[in-house]
Amino acid sequence: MSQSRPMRRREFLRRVPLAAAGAAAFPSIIKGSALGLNGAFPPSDRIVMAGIGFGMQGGSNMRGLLDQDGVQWVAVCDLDDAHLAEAKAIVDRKYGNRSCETSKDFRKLFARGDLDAVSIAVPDHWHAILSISALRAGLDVYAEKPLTHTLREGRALCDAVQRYGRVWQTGSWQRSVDNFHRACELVRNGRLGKILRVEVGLPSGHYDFARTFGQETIEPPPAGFDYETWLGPAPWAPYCKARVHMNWRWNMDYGGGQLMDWIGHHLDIAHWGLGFDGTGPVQIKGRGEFPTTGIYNSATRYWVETLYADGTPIILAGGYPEIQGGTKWIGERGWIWVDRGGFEAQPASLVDEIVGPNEIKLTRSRDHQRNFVECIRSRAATIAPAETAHRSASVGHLAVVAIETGRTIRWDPAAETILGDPGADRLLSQPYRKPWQLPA
Amino acid sequence: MRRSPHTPSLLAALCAILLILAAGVVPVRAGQKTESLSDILKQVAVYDGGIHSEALWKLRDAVWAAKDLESSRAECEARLLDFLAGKATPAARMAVAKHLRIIGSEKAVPVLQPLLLDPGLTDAALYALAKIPGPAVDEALVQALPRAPRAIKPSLIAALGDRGSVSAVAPLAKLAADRTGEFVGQAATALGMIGSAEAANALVSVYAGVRPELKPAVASAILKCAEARRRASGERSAAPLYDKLLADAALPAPVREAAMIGKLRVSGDRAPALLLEQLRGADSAMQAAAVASLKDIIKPDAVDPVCALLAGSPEAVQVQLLAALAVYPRAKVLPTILRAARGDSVPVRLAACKALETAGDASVAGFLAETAAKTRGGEQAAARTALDSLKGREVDEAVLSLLKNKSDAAVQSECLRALGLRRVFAAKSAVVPFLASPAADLRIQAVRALRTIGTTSDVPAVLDAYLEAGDETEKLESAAAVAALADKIAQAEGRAAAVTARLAAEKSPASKARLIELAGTIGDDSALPAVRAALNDPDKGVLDAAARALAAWPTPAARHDALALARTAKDETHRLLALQGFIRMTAGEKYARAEETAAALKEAAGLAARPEEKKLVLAALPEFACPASLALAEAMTADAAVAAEAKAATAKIKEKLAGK
Repeated sequence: MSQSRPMRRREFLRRVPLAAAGAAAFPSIIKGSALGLNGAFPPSDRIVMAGIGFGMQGGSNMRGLLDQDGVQWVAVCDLDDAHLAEAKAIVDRKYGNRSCETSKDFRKLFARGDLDAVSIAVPDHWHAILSISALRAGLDVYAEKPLTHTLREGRALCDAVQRYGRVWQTGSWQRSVDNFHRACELVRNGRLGKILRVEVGLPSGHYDFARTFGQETIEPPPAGFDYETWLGPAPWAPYCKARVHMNWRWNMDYGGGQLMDWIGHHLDIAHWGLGFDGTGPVQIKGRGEFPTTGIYNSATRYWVETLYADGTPIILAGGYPEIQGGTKWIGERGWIWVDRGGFEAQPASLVDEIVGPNEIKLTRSRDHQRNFVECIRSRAATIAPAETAHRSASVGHLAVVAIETGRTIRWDPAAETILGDPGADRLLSQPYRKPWQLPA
Repeated sequence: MRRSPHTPSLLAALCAILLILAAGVVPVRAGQKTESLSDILKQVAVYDGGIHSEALWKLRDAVWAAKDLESSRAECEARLLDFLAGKATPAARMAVAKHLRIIGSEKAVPVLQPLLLDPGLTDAALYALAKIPGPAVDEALVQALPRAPRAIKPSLIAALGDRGSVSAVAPLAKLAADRTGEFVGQAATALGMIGSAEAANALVSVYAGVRPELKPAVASAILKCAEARRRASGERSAAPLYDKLLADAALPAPVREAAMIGKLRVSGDRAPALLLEQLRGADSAMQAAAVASLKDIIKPDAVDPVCALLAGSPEAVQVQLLAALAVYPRAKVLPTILRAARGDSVPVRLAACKALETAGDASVAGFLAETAAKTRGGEQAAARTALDSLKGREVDEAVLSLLKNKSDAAVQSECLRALGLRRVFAAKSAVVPFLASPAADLRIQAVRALRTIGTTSDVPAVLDAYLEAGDETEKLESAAAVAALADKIAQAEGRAAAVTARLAAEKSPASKARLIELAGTIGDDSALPAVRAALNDPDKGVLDAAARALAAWPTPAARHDALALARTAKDETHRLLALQGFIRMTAGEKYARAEETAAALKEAAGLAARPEEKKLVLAALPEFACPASLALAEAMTADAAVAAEAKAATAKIKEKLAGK
């Protein structure tokens, strides 16, 4: 095998007899039953995976993927020793060995040459660099929402998915849950008539996921945590506990507050129901309320009004009780509201309505991780591909710009440009701190 | 809590700007001391990046107030630039740079340019500079590039690439060609982002001479550049770049795959032949590129050669090709897909079934129904999904015909299932007779189908099936079907009329109990008198059904019945269920007067002996915040078993009463 042409494992196994490959080529010998195989997937069709980021959602995503038939997990990567140890333990326990490799450097992970796919669940400001690096290494990617930290990164990432011909699944898992799917199909098939207005209710405030609120004393980063790399492309800032694990999302240098945290869920569902997966609003205006102290600077309460080219208005709100959490389409003939565990409609009979085969049928997935694995094998588009996620996230990015500038933003969703406001356009991307650069 | 500037009216905003112009000060809220931008910046200068960020918010207000009027913006920009060049903490400088990013102009260039070369200030200077449009910034970055220390160069390179600075091609090409290789990847990436013809030439030149281990990075930049060339000047300008990469067999497979994807996109009329050549070849990277590009390259009327390749391809490629073929015209691909669906390989059969969802027609309905009938697990699920998804009225007719003409019960069961899910309303008369089938599975599938395709006229027949149901599954399915059909009656009052009429005539206690249970499921309030009456029935089973139905009644109309039952029931289970039901129904009346609801919940609390019911009361109370509910919650804090819940409810009610 040529040193300069790393061959991915499945390709390698298809072309090299197992005996000739030698044990060193394989991270470990694992019983087929541990991979859920039962003979269904020969070694050449195993999907070899690794994960990056285990501080919050990464562990849950990995567990879901570990349960899929034919998936073999070989490595975990995180900047915190404690997260690494926890993630490794999950994998080793699953396979009954101690073979899962650990790394703090994603570049070493991607250079292994035996991976087929990677799961990425890191702070938003790292999404684009890590994801494009993975795509460039020829990996299929399961990654958390929002797709990217800035709108311009999102377009670059979508281009990279196309360039490298990879399979992409965004962690917008509500698309793989029945009530959301049914609600969207009913809306798409005109059960509500013309849609007059859509209300998307998102959470408000800041939630103390890591129980580090108030721990904003500047101190040296703890041993075992690579804080400099954690900051990565974001502006330099001194370490304090409240800045990092899980609660980073409340600071706009690393996340986007509740608005960006949830845009890839309920707004994504609103788009799905309306058939807006490949477009965006033409006008956005918004207002927000912010903390008065501390290191968190994302809006705690916000109201955003968007308008789409066909005249459909979508309201996004967090902290306004009149906008119910979840997604609500209001049409000429009634309404449908859907949320996690909730599905209501007026008329109520819509809840039981079945969409027949001669109507518009939306892609069906009952398991988000399984859908990703199936698409790795078939090379078909997943249920939450990059372009779709980019279009959902774009609404959030534009809402942030509208709130930040205090102006009504006019947007051309085809060209993806802000019209007549060059000042606002500056906010669609952020410079990176040295030495980071968005890969090609 | 601070609000964004969108909140005030336009008039207020104009007043704020006038205030700044007149006094050079920042607008403040009533009661706050007026502070100048200079005063604010003095406070910002010592910000350490931690919790005491009040000055940063004042700065934000000041910049926001100034940014939309040229004179105030320019004044603000000048102050911020002075600040950046002066003494301040790194966190403070970055905070200011973030604002300059929005309001900075080319006037900032002379101030920021020297800062670029200071390692401690580069990031802040670049943050402010990189988004300012105009050639002066490009020139400043280009000038800084050769003089910058090694640690700073990557930032300047990235900024030039991000800006698409065509004037930077020559210095970037020089860095990319540097024999030390230190900045090759970064400079090449920047050239790829610039994407001009000169940048493309430079990249090709660099690629020819670069060390082998750096070739993949330069190759990725060429891929990016090729896309820009294609957009700017058409396919011919991009093709040579892809050819250059494809000629290098030593490149990693993902890069070669991407190069082939790009090559196929710019090959025009020659693309289909090129794609087929890759599919036929042994290079898996090229095969992957062909599969990824198939639906973009192969026109609908030219798919025959791909179909011909399917059977001879490796199993994994067959799975991928089947997914791609599914979107092609049915007449072209269906025979190939059906052949695959009948093959030996399980993964290929599964992929073929998946493809039939879109590519199949009435001719495959029988095959899918039979496959679903004789297989289990994933293959059965795939066949069922495909059968349910086939488009066309002809498919409906084919499934109906199968139901009528096939004697195989398993196939009939699949047909019944599909007819319901396909909403074949015309099949109703063929489905109803299966309610009387001796086979339980067929009866259940018929009931399920009628739930969708049945009408109110089918209620009596499904009601019979419900009363005669053999096991719990059949009973539940039949009950759900009756309820769904009853829901189709426009008037809510009377939806359970068929049930109550049957109840009045029914003699068998077991059947009476079932009918009462069903009345509770439908939830038609006009059936309540009949259910109430059943509380006095001498049969224990009937009484039990009536008590449970009232306790679980879906509307608040049974609230008083539930309360009465909670007070008087001799059976402890009935009493508890009724009490729980009363609390649920009471809390469910969201628009009731808070005082009345609080009184009802107080009564419920008085009847509750267990903590479980008391907690239900406490969970409901905050929704009806009023002095009475507060008093009740506070009183319940004395009960050790629910003290924590009572305190939480008390706090919530107080918050609501305080208008928070």
